[in-house]
Amino acid sequence: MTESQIHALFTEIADGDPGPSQVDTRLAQRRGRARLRWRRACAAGTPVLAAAAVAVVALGMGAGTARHRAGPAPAAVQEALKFAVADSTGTSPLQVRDVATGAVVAQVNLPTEPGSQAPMQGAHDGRTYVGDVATRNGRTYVVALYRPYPCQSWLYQFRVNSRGQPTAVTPLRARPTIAGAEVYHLAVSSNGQVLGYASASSGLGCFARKAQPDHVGIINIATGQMKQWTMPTSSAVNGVSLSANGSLLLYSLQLGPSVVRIIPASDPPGQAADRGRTVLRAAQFGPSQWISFAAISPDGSVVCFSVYPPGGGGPGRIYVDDLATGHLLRVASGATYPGLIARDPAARQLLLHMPDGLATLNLSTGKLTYLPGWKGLIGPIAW
Amino acid sequence: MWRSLVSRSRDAEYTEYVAARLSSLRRLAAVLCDDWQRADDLVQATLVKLYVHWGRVRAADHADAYARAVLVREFVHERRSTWVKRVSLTGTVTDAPAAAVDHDAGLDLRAAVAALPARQRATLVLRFYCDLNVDQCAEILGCSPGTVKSQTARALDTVRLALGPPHAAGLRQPGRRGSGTPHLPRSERP
Repeated sequence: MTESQIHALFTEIADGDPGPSQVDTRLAQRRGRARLRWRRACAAGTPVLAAAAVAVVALGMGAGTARHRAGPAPAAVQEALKFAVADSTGTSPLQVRDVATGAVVAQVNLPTEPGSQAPMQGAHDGRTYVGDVATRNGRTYVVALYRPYPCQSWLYQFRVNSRGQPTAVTPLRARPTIAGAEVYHLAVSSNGQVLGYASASSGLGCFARKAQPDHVGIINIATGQMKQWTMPTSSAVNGVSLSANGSLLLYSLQLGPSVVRIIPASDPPGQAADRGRTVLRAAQFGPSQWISFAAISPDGSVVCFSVYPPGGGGPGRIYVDDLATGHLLRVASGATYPGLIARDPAARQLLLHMPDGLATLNLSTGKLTYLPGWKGLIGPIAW
Repeated sequence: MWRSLVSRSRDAEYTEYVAARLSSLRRLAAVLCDDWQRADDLVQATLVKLYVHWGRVRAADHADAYARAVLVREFVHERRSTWVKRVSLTGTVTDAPAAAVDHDAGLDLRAAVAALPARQRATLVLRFYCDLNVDQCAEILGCSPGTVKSQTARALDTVRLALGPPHAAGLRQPGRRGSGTPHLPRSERP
């Protein structure tokens, strides 16, 4: 083997161009202009402001504002990172797991007869299923249960203490039930005042009902007041997320087309397509790509999302997008299980499945930390 | 008004240059990264820097050499930074076509070169793909000619070790031939 073979290797690589360039010259110009603006801002004597703003972009998902990002996370949030609630079977009980070790520290038995408070003893009743579990701080959780006959959902809440032990499961006082709907995605705003949801009134869950479109909506947790928007009939909601004060509801669609949209909570009810705006389109990442997960930062300025190729299983890419500047960063690649991505309460990290197992992804640094103790668990996790 | 006119002129020149050189920059990036998607990311980042420093590009004796230096430094810096900063791109996500035939030796060589640290790989690319001499490599990499020679020697040693004795016999150390000489005779090119 000679040096010519190294040259031949490099030439072979260079000649293996797989297709048209994906380089976007206009995007480069836009980013270049933005950098020049920063330079001018720095030269004009505002280096601290400019540096802070650059840090905001670099930190991506962080907590949404420089003030939040600069300081440590609130104590409740830091503590919350210790535990997560896993729904591995789609039925009761839920598992409270230590995030670091994956060990099951407690089980949460859900009511066997929604509407009553009789605990379910370790097994499901064959009629009631877990729609979704959400938390605003890793301590207080909301659970949606649904039952196809009658087509109805129940909302419950429980708390997990600093040792991972859950309190009793109680109905959400202001809105214990949602009639005629299967709630299959939940989100709670960080201030604990707003619940976001996606619901179906047809399909696998409530199949006995006449086919109806899905909805996304919000519930005022204090008053129980609901507001919802109707989805296009061909769409399937992949997830919902709320800004810290619940003023923005983000949802991602898998089909027709796969997009991420944001609706201001103040918008009147109606067709979802007529409210809010589309902030991301899967098509920009290539044909047949789709967005499986999306979450909005507490201040509503940054969206973290995953893009998967057609066919489902992966490899998925994780991006962070600054909505104000259009600054887009790919934070990780190779994620599996598109539907099983969770974010931590402070929106600083994701919990996701990688080929080598479950891992946390730091959205600020891109660092992956594998959690070997979780091996074998495949299911939604509320973190 | 003046700034706007300057900006338009700058954009026009920049666009024209990039349109003409994009292909060669992509090829070089692909050789460095051994991955066309990452190569496009690298080129994208390079284009942003070229735009920001367009004044210097225009003033440079060889704009292509300047662009190449930016690209190689961006590659080395990206690998060295704590996390890989990547840019999202539009268009089709495609894979490189599979080789028609598996050549064991070629695959081994590719794997061995892929395992090299970024700086050593960049040195090999600049010397064996771009045909640059030691001084030119040193200028691009921002180091001394001696460092380029030692990096080349180490890279070849590493590849030789990875390939084992049967493959290693033909690998010479071009750094010892002296700087300023292209190290690959044209006659040996495929």
